[in-house]
Amino acid sequence: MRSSFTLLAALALLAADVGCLTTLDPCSRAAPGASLECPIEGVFDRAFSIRVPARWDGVAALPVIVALHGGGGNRRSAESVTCPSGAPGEPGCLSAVAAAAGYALVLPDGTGLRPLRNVRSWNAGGGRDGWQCVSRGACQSNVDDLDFFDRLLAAVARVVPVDRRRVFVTGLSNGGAMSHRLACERPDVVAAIAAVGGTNQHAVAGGRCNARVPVLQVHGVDDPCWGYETRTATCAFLEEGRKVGVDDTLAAWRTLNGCGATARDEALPDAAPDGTRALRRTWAGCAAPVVHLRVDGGGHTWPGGHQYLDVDTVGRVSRDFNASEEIVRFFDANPRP
Amino acid sequence: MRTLALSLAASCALGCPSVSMYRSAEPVPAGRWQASLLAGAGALADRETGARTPTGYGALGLQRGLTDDVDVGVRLYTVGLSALATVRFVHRGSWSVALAPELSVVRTPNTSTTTNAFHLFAAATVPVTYRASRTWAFSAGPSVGGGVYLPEAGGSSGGMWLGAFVNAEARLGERWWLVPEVSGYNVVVGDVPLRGGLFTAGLGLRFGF
Repeated sequence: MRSSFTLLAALALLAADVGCLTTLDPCSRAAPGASLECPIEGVFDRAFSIRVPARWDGVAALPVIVALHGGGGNRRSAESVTCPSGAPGEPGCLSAVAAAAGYALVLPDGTGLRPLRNVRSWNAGGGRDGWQCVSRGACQSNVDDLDFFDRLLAAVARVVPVDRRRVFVTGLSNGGAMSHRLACERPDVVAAIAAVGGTNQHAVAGGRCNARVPVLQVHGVDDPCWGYETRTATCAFLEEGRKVGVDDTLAAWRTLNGCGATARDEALPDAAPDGTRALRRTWAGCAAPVVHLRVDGGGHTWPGGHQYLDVDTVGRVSRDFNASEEIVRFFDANPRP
Repeated sequence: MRTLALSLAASCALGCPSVSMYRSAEPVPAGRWQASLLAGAGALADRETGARTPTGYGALGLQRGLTDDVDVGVRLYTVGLSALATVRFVHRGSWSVALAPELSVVRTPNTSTTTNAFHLFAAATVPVTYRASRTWAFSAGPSVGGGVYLPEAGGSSGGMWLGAFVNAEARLGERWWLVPEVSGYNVVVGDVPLRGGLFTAGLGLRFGF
């Protein structure tokens, strides 16, 4: 019996050693320079990170960039993928570029898979007529990510005063596609979007786009995961179906945004010998701008960011320019009227 | 691709509860100890998303016989812990039937695949064991369990499952036993640990002292 008591005591000690779970406390008003992890009231297992610029005066309404992770990522990977070596806090990360320009950066979680709950995705559309449901988890489960976005912005507004004319959305891959969907379905909220390596699957699969929104599309021509042209492309083993290409997505936005047929091309300097070249194409006569940064030789990556998987799997990162800087410049130029 | 698959498998091995059972209706003899090393692999499938994920597990166990019909023990997983017991209520000739409850807690850290969370599980298995000889025994039985997932980001979710196992126990000398097993379960309510099922095959090595 004494041995049994010892066994039970050992069990209790081991249980204690497992550690206590600290749940995230609701975030209160943030101070300049704050970096917070916040839950969202009424939302299960999805939080957001917020990076507040240090040079904010603590009073003025802040412009906000919402950065959406790719399929299979989470709010931490949304930040790290934009950093040159994948380490948040480096100069050149979206967080640093946004802070320097006076933006609050918001990094929310998508919906987690089961049982790998931090492998997350957004319901960016698709799933009919042969169009891939992107990304599989949240899309297959038909998660209401529009409602989530509304709740997210309400939660952000409790942490910092939000400049309602300057709420922007960006993201990589599934996060890029979700940016398009939010532009389509929340044009009264989203001032402009910048999608990297993800296109408008929502619209091609029958979703409506309701109003003009400025769009910047950054895409690698050699993207093996989300093809530059409309086709079946995937680097995850569960995905099936077509993804819409860049030309089809931008043609639809040009029509909606009232652009003319002509465009101005500008080659970006070949700043790094990395086998990539970038071209900026700006369409003329748009009521809301449509701009494309085409990265020849670029992969399913964030230009200037992290080579998060090997080149054979996701293609190259271009070092010719920093997508974060281009995106922030685009947002600077496109507040809501 | 390979990196992703390995990452998924490794992470699930970290986060999964006691998916294996390795139970017998024959308790460890009173006053004796039994240590065990359990390892296996399998696959799980989520009905809603269609996701199929390879999985694996590893555990160290220690059990102590209290009486002829009762033993208690613990199992230590990579990031989890189980307390278990065997209470034999039928023993006729070569046949034994027992109730084998188990309580588990799994703590996952924040990684690229797991969240900072607690997972609590409780299961009750009814092993039926037939002792064919001093060397061989065969066990099988149904299991019912439930779990709760408590993430740091807030909220909780739960699930209940029905499962079953079959194993064979081969005695190797005086103190060692080898126990191959197959087991599976299907979540019938909720979505913990997933909305679907799981199947595993593995091997246990037991040492009595």
